[in-house]
Amino acid sequence: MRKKRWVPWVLVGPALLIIVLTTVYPLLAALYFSFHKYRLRSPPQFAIQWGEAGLHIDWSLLTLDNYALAFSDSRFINSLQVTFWFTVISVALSVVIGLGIAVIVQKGGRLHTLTKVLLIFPFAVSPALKGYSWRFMLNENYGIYDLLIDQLIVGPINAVLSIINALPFVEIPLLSESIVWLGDKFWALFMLAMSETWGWAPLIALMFVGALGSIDEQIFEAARIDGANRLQIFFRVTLPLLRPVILIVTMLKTIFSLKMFDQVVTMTGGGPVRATQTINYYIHQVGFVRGLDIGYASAMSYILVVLLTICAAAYVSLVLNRD
Amino acid sequence: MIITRRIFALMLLTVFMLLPFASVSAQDVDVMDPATFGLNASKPYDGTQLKFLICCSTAPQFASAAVKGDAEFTAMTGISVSWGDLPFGSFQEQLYLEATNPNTEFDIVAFVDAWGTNIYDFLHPLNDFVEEAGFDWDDYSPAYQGAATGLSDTIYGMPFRGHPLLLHYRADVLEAVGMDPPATWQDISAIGEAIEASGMDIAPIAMYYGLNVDQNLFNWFAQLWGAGTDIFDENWEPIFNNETGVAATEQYVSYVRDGYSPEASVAWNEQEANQELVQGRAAMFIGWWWMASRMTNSEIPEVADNAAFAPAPGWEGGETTSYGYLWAVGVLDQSDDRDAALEYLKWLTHPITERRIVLDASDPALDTNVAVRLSVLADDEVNEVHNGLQGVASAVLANARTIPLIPEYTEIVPFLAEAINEIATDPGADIQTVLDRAAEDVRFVMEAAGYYDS
Amino acid sequence: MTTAATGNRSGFRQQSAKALETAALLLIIAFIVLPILWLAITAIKPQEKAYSTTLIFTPTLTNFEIIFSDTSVLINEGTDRERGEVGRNMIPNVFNSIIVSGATILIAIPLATLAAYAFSRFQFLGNGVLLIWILTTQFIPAIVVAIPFFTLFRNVVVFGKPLLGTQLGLIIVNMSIVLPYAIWMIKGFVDALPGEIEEAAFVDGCNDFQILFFISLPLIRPGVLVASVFAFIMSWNEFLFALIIGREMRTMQVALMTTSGARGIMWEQMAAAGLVVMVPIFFLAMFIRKNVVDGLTMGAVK
Repeated sequence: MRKKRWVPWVLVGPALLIIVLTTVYPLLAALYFSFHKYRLRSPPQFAIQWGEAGLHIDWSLLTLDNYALAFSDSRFINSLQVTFWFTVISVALSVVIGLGIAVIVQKGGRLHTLTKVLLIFPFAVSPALKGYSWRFMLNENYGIYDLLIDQLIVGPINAVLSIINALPFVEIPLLSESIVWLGDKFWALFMLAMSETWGWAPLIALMFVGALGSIDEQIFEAARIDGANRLQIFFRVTLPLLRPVILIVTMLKTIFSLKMFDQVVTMTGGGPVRATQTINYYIHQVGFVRGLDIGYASAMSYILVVLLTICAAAYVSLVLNRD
Repeated sequence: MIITRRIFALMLLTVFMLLPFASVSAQDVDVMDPATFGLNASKPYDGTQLKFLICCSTAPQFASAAVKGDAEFTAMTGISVSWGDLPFGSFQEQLYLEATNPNTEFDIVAFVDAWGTNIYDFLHPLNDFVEEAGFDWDDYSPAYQGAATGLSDTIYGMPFRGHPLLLHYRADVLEAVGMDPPATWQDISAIGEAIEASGMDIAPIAMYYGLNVDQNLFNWFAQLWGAGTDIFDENWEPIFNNETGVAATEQYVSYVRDGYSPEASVAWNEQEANQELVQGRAAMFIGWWWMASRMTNSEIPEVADNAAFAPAPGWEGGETTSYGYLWAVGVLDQSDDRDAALEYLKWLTHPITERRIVLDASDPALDTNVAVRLSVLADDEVNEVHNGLQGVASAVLANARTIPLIPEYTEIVPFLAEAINEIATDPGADIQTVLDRAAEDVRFVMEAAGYYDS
Repeated sequence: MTTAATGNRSGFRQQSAKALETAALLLIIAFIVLPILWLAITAIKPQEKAYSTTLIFTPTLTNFEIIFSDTSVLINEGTDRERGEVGRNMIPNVFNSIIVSGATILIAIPLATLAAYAFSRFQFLGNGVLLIWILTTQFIPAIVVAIPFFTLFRNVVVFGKPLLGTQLGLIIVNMSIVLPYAIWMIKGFVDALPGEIEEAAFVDGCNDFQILFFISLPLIRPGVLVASVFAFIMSWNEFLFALIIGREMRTMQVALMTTSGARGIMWEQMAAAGLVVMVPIFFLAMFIRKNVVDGLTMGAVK
């Protein structure tokens, strides 16, 4: 190996400096803001002051009120719950659908290859645009999704149900064709998660396709010779082998889900009521739209930092343990 | 009052042809003469560039004012004004961020009444300006005056774009069921019942209970005030959850609960609900007056030919009152070019400019009915061109009100909007319980802000 | 007899399995393509047809005309439904997006390449920890980065203008997301490069920098290109920073919001603008198709 000790630092230095300035500075500043009363309406008074006598710290200006407020604020608690459920639904859907797509497209064939090429498409659609287009397509009067769901899912199910209902003593209520997707607390959150799944499941599928391709074909061959059917092979062989990749993908998607913001703005606006107000969205509302309370917004974002740090630690240990 | 676009165009043409004869009284002014607007003819601010923080440049009124300003105001004064076109969806936050920014480049800001409360401290008081410009403050309706001054006597912004609430309806549908346009909120239910009984395939009314910049409160306020209660009492205690408030809210959500407004209206914003009317799927809609032209512009002949409007309904046996919504234009105190900005404000909010904007039909994209001064609203020529819309607007504005303009308003208003949305979304929700919870949240903010200290 | 019957049955089963698979593939394609296709269709619909699911319409470019025109545009010209619409003039927004994304990669990629090379080829104090730390910066929620930069940039004046609402301001903040990804991606490419060539050059008397610039860089050029495209897409699609830091200097992502004005969201215009935002990125994404996974997972899934 080469010797000169200063060489790597010269190479790494500029990039490192910029990363420190653009991540460490805001982390420290937000922490500092979070202990102050700081509203944009009036100029802030900070504890650390430069006076004529030099550096002076006014301890009385520091406060824990913002953190106390966060834990008694039902809207913040709500945003934690919304973010939790959004994460659970979107991660589960993305990973399961992504895995399903991967298993199907993995084999050779012209249609398979075409599908594999198409998998990259949603990556090109920005989250903000995703939110707008989904909102448009879910409209109950002119939305294409609404139409397709009614025609292809609700319609056939109801047809079957009516046949069953024709039997004596059976009365199963029919599904509603007039669900207002973004006007219902559950469906709005679900559809927000679906829009996210649309963007992510194909990418996750790509990740799985790579992982599936690297599994030795002989393992499957051996299982087949032992008389295992497809389902058995999938659950007993494929899934255990994919376990590390599934874990990493799940962690990664969890982290992205916890940061959910763009589509909330462009698709649901946080509604109905508070059903889709994620943490990031609520922080943005408090800090920039409603109370202009930068101190409180900073405190809440720090709570989010703590949550994400835990996830990040889990992710990093997963990645490290793989090598 | 039913007109098609063609007749409308013909009317415009007639007005224009008659203009040279009829204009002697009002039009005999030189709009390129600084003296007309009381502007300083010696161009002391020549070369100054002003930045105007405003949204929605495609709104015909704004576009029209911008175009005329470029052509005329700049020629007279040498001051050029660039209109910053912000998306409406992020305008509120950008307004706050710029107004509170010590290094902002903006000189002039437009703000919605409620949003102004957070930036009063950063706005230049305009009382002296109004006096010096020789403007008659009473040329604005009380609702607009209140919206421009907040709770004080200080004028923070000049009324620029204002909206009374009108009932927009399908004349043919109401005629078919033999009903007059509703005078009260309770009448709407009766008409809804009649339309439903008639078997017509149209929703009686399109309401908007969705969460979108607090639009679901506009009509709720009218019912609250009409029924005889308010958001706060004189001691800033929330009272919208008292018995009257619950009754008003019950009436307000009854339209969706009784099935007269489509189920989807629980998620609609004002625009989406209006689309129902424009697309011929609903017979009534209560919203801002500027939307009247959307109905006459509808692609569906039935809608366009039967477009009609009337004042927004009142409360049975109670007051008839509604929310007068105002966009005001203010000048930032920290602007380096404050005097030039005031000069522009003088031109922009001058009655002559305002009148010319609503009368201008030279470019169809700039066609607007929006004016705020009572003198312009009462102008015969203006009313002739706009089918009497301004006259009806004046009548509504006569007893319109504004909202409680305190800085905490923007903090408490989401509680109200969410409560209404919750009551509408959940048919089983107990109105009293939900309103009580909202009142508690409101009290919490007000207490923290020190309103109950004494 | 029995064998033939089973043969037939398994043949049938095989066929139906194949049909099922084809159906599943078509379903996946529909799932992926439908929203994009629908946006494209809506973009060329005349305004009055945009608010319905009809597929019968005369394609029009009016929507594009409106979003790119800075004067008014006539709709339904010559018919009795003729009316005007003020143009939205998104050309400056397109340029903002191009300038911000372009400058971001112009700054980030050279720096990232140098750093990635060092991380891959040198053992230095704490390099492993540093690399992991760079990875963890990506878990910081964007809003935490945005708030302090917002308050800072109001007061930092560069070239007589506060940084808030400038392209430079947004470029700086974009570094926080682009640089770490680029370093990890490029490091992957350097890792894959056999070290023997460099060793040979070293023996021939080249110094570290000569090796880097004349031997290694040309070899990892394809990798650097992929990372550049990836970084370009990241900053092109970025929304939260563009909203809070970009302010009046709107990129196309934020400009999408302007299609929702006083008259509600004009879906046909939104779709047209959306297409403008999306189509260039499609081509770029196709170009780096094989590397997107590495980029997103920072090389954790191979």
